[in-house]
Amino acid sequence: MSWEQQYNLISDDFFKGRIYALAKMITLVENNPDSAWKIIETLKKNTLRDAPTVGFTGSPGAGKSTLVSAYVSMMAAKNQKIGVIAVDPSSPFTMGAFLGDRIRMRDISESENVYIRSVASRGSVGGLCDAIYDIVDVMKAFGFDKIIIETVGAGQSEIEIVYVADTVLLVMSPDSGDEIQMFKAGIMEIADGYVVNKIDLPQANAFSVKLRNTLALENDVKSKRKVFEVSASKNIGVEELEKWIDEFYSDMSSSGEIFKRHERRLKRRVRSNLMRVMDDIISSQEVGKNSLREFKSLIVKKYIQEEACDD
Amino acid sequence: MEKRIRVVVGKPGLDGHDRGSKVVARALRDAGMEVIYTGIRQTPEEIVNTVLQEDADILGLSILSGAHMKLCQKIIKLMKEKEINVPIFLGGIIPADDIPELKKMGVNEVFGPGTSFEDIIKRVKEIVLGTAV
Repeated sequence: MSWEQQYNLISDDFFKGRIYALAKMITLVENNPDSAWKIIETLKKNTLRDAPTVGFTGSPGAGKSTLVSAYVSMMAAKNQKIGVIAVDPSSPFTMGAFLGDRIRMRDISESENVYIRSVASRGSVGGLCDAIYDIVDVMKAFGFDKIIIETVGAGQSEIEIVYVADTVLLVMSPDSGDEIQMFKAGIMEIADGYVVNKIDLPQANAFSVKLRNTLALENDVKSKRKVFEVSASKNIGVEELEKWIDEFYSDMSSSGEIFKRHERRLKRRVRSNLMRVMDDIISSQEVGKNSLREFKSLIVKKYIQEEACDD
Repeated sequence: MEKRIRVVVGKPGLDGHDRGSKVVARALRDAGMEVIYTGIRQTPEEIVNTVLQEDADILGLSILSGAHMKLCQKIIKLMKEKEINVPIFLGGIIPADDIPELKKMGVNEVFGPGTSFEDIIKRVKEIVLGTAV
C-alpha cells in the first residue's frame, strides 16, 4: 500500500483523536522518510497550536524515564494532554532494538491524558532518530498540550536534542564524575537546566555543590542556569522543576529566544534531511574511474535530479 | 526504508519468572526486530494499551503461573473491544491439552520450553509478514 493510501485510511480518525490512528501515523512517517514531509505539510494545515517540547537527556541509568514519569504524571493530574517520545538505541549490527523505557513509566501509562511511544534510533548517532522532527510534528497535529522527548542514554556528544526540543534538561546521577567532566564541552553546554537525580543518595549533596561551584566559574549564560535537586522515584523536587519549565518557556517566548531556537531547528532539520538523501546516493553510487572532483559533481547532479523528481 | 517488525513482549499476571521473556526479547532483538519490553506483573489492560500506543505488529506473552487461559481470554477480549487486530504468541509453562483451546481463542502460536530461537524467530516473521520465511 502506498503512503497516500495508508494516510487516507487513518487521517479522519487521527483528527477525531483516536489513539490507534496516532500510533499508525507515527509508524507511517518513521517508515517513509522520503514522503514524510508531504504528510507533515498536510497535517500542519490542521495543527491548532505549537505545543512546547521538553527534552530530557543524560547518561544511561541517570533516571530519565523515572523523572519523565514523575513530571508527566503531575501534568496529567491537571488534565493536560501529554505526548511522550522515548528513544532507545538500535543495534548497529542487526538494526534490532530493546525498547525498555515504558517499564519506568507505569504510573502514567494507563492515564487517558498520556500517550507514550517507544522509538528506536535506527542508525542515528545524535541520541535521537532521523524521524524525530516528523514524529514531534505528528504529535503536535494530534493536539497535545506538551511533548516530552527522552533521548537514548547519552554520552558527551549526543546533542541532537538541543535542536529538537524547546527546552533541554540534563539528568545527572550523583556518581557521574568530578568537575573536570563538568567543564567539558558538549552535553554539559546544551542544557537549560541540570537535574541532580537520586538526591536521596549519600553523595548527592556533595555532587550538587560541586556542580553549582563549577557552573559559577562559567560564562554569563551558563552560570545562571538552574540546578534542581530531585529524587524522581520518591517524587522530591519534581513540582519545582515542573513550575520552572513553564516559566522558562514563557520567558523564552517574551524575550524572542524561542524564535532563535525555532530557526536553529529548521536549519538542522533541513540539514538532516539533505544528509540522509545524500548518504543514500553516495552509498549506492560506484566510484569507478572518477576523480574526487568528478565523483563529487556526479553526486551533486544526482541529488538535483532526485530533488526535481520529488517536487 | 525496510520495515522493522515491532514486537511487544509482556508478562501478565503475578509470576515474576522473567528469564524466559528476557531471552526471547533478546533473541528477537538480535533478529533485527524492535522489541518493546513491558516488564513483569502487567495487567491485561496495560498490555493491550501498550500494543495500541506502540502500533505493534505482534504481541508476545510469557506466562508461567498457570493462569494462561484466563489471562489470554481477558487480553483477547480487551483487544476486540478496542478493535486491535494484532496476532499473539505465547510462551511459558502451558500444558499441551490447553493449546487447542488457546488457539481457538485467538492465540496464533504457543512455544513451550525447549523451543529453539530459530523456530520462534521464523514463526514470528511468518505470522507478521503473512508468508513463509
